Amino acid sequence: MTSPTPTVRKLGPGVLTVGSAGSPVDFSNRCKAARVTWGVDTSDDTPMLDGSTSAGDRTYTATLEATLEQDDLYPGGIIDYSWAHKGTEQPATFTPYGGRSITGTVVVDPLDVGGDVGSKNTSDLKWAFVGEPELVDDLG
Amino acid sequence: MINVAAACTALVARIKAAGFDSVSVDPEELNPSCVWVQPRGITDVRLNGDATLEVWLYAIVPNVDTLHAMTLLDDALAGLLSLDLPFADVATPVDLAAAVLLPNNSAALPAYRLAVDLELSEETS
Repeated sequence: MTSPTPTVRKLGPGVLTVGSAGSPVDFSNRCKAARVTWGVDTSDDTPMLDGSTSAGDRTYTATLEATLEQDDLYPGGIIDYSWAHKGTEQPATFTPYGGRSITGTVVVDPLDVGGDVGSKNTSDLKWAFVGEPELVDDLG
Repeated sequence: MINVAAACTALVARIKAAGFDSVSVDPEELNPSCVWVQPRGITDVRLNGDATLEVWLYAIVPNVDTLHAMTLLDDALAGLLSLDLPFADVATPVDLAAAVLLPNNSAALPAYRLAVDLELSEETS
């Protein structure tokens, strides 16, 4: 049996949503950059009497990060949503370019508003996953 | 599909609706006082495939005396700013020293240049 050959892909067109399954907020059309980042905390290795080493524990954390063009604060938009749901846990889905998606639960932090006069201002989204996100097959 | 021509055509119509008589992407069609719509580049591609089109709008007036030309250009600039288009991410969104040589004119004409962004999406293009 042969494995399928992985393909290098550019990001997009894809989808980024947050919120309950029945009424998620899709903010893909405001999203200039998106990624899921991983962090790891490690405890020190432990030397054993026989000269070997026992590896330290590793704790992984993941974060959903994105750069968004700010909307006009309309009800139901991503700015409005982040302010109304700040501090709550919400399901999120990131589909980088069709096909498989990354799903999980994030803690929503409110997005910054404003910037330079006359310009299209952006907000940096950085929402921590609760537990670890999962790769899932095509959501259809 | 990103359609630059359609986005520029829509912008030309919008500028004409704001009261400018001579507006075009084709400098051959312009008759000062006029606005030349020049697409410059596509930036800010977003996750869903939408993008931003940077467009330079040249407000161009006849070769009259300097103060008169500035007054005409100020009026044109005010009209263009009233369209409330977001500035493009350039060092000088409004360039006051942008003389333009049009095909049917032997000398460069006084001009202001306004750099703006248009949304390019399936819906708008």
